[in-house]
Amino acid sequence: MAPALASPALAQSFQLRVYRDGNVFEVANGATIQMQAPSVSSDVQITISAVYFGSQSAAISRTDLLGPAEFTLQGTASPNLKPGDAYTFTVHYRPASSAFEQALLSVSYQEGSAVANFRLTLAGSAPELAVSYSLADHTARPLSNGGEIVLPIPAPGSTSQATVTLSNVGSGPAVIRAVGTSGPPFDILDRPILPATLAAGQSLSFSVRLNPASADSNTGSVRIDGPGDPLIFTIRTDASAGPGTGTSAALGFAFTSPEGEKKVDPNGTITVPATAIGASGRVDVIVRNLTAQPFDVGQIGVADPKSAFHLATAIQVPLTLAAQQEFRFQVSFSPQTTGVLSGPLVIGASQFTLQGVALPPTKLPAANLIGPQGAIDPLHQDFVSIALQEPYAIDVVGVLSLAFDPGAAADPSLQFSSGGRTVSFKIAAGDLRARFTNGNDRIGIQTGSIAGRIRLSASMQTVANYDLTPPTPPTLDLQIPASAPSILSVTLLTSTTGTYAIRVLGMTTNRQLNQLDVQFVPTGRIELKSTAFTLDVSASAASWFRDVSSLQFGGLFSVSIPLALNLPKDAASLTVADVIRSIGVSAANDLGSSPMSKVDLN
Amino acid sequence: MVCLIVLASGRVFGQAPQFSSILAGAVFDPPSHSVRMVLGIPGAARISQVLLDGLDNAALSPDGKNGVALRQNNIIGLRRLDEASADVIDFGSVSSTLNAAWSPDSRTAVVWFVNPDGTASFHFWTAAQPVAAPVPVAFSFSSLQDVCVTADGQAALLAVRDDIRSGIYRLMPSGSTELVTQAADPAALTLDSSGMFVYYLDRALHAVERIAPNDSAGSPEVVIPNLDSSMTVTALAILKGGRLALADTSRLSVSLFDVNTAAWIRTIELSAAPDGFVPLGGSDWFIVAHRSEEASSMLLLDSRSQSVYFVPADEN
Repeated sequence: MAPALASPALAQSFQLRVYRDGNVFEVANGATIQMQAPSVSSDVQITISAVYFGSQSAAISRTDLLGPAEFTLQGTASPNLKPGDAYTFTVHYRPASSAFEQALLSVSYQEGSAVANFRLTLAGSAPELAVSYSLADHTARPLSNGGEIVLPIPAPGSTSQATVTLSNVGSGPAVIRAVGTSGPPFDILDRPILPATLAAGQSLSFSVRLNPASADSNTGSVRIDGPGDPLIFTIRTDASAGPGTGTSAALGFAFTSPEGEKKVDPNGTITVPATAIGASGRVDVIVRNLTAQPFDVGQIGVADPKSAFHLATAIQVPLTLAAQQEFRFQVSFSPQTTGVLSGPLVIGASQFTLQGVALPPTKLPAANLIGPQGAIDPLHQDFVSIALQEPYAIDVVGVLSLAFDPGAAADPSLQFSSGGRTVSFKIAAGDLRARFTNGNDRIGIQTGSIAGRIRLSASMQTVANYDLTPPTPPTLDLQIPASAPSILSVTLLTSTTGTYAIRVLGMTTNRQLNQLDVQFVPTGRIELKSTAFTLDVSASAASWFRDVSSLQFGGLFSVSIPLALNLPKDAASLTVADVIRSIGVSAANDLGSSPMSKVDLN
Repeated sequence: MVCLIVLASGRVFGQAPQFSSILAGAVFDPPSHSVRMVLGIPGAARISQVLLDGLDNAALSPDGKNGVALRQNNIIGLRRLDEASADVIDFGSVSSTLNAAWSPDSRTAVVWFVNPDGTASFHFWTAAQPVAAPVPVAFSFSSLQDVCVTADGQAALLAVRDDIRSGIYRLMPSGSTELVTQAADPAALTLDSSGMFVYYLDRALHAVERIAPNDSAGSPEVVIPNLDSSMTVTALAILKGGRLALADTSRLSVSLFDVNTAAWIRTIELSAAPDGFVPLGGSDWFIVAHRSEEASSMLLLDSRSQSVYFVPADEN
């Protein structure tokens, strides 16, 4: 009888342990075990221990390795294992290339009458470094071990440099342990933190700089300790090398000033002519390539976009300056506040301080408020505009305010047509007339119904809030005099129950009312016993004007006077209009009486 | 016979002259999407507290107590706006624009909207009653130039312009329509205070005409002939004293004419385009331009003084 084929359950009669680099870990039957060689042609090994924990015994019959020859076995045997015994052997991987490789390890055994096996997949990988360098032209130049890095000859006093890039083009992680040069005049810029592990496909860059003591040709070396043997490259200079990306020493800087061109070193100050708020000053900045090779300037800009300084020249970067050539660009200075202002300017790897004195803006031309002034009626609507006597060079914004010095109380109806007691306006540069938030060049004002002094005043400033308001702001003063009451309307109200009331709508600018005089003009159809009455309303009016709800209406009042007709029985069907032709009402306060206001009932 | 007039100085009826608030009326305020109360009188008026907000548009009854409105494309009725909390009644119809008219007595509103087939349907709503189902009409929505409601609220008058049926029609709540008079290009309907005549603009004739609302295929009377053809009249109103007001959107003005003599009286320039003559609170005041933005003011025509006043809004 043929032995039964192995089942997964039987495979679990073994506990599989993998020993690697002093560590041990368990793996399941069928697992994949990584074997990462430190470099091509170097050896990596693991030890596999299969511990039998079945209840019978297991006889190892075969140990097979299917895969490339880079994988080899050592220490295999065919032991007969009792529970607790282990079968231990070693797998070696010595990659011939950095390509990814796989092998299948299979161990067959017989446990009782059953034949079974366990399997592990071995995944072999190895790193491989590809090295290149680039100059200012950003062209990658491959380097093989022992190759040359050729730098441009720097101008006197300047440097030359190359960017070295290490790329792991293999299948396993590469450990970079050290990079270095043979010493001055070469050194490493932006040195990476080492050791560094580059996963497959990753890169790492650093710069090698030549900072020569003389313009003579210089040679040296760069060493990289990574996977496998150290990589050593010769480094030298050659006039025929590509463009440089050296530091600022390769560049010269200057700016224009009233005294002429001024040289400036990195970290120095570029002074912009003093400029008034609202104006724009400019300075020319000059960048010169001092080297004999083309030179890339990677960036030019004002680092703080909120500063008063801005590039006034469109510049496309990187900017390649030909040997011994210069480039000029303008920086503008548009201050919004006074004082000494500064901002950072970056040119390539160099930084400068832009500095300018911001002067107060030129004096605002005289501004006038145009509108009513002096004594003015209550319940009046009029319009106000603002005009400069001469155009101004910059935009002016401002607020027209309305203040009220009331004789009696505040009047909420005293407002601009746009609502409220302030309204914003803008006088565009070069214009004379202000334009208000309602889009018009004038704004309405209603004077309300309370006696008092109304003062209109305008404050003005630059868009950036620099105050331009003259010491004596433009104002308009209006005066609503306290006066005798006015009757605005008289209405006879008739209820559905046949009762009547005289509704008097009026205004008293001092919010005080003493009496109402009511006169009736009879129709003649029936004799009126009395045709005139005087009502003392001083108490009720005082009560009304003391009430907080009356403040909503200023000096306006609405008063209803109930009216009853005591008609003879034989004239009971007559209506008020049959009896009264018209009703006249006048009102009085301490300052006088209003004219009689009438309502005709017919 | 002798009549004794008693003024309530208190001795007879125990009633004293009573001072009260001055409420001009309620208005829909577009920038705030709300119905707000106007306080004061023209010249010292302002748009004040919010009565109801969250509306896209609203047409209030002349007395300001009721309204119809649009809220999220739903047509709704507003009842008792003058009380602490208004009733909101869903009409069950949707529209992207509010098209509504009120009867002069503030009791009945008509609201019309476009059907999917392009025809129009009308809601007749008496504010005290539940909402009735809309009635369709044979006219296309786009042919309706204006609508007003008769004084008794029993019919709507439609200004219709189409290729074959242009004229003034009377629409009954049942949905039946009758021709009042033919007119080539009628628009801007308005009733006089008595409801005896409906006035309208015939744009083809550049004339204002009038006819009794209950007429049948009658002949209109020309009231104002030979209007300036450059005017763009969008609304009419009959003011006290026999004055006819025309809102001109191209000239941003209101022109006043004498109804009886057809004489031009005056033209009042406005600071904004007029959008109608909406009675405010049942008074002598008409809203001729609502606020269009926060910084603008409402324009109010005082029909007694025949002057236009701006009305600012609080809390801008």
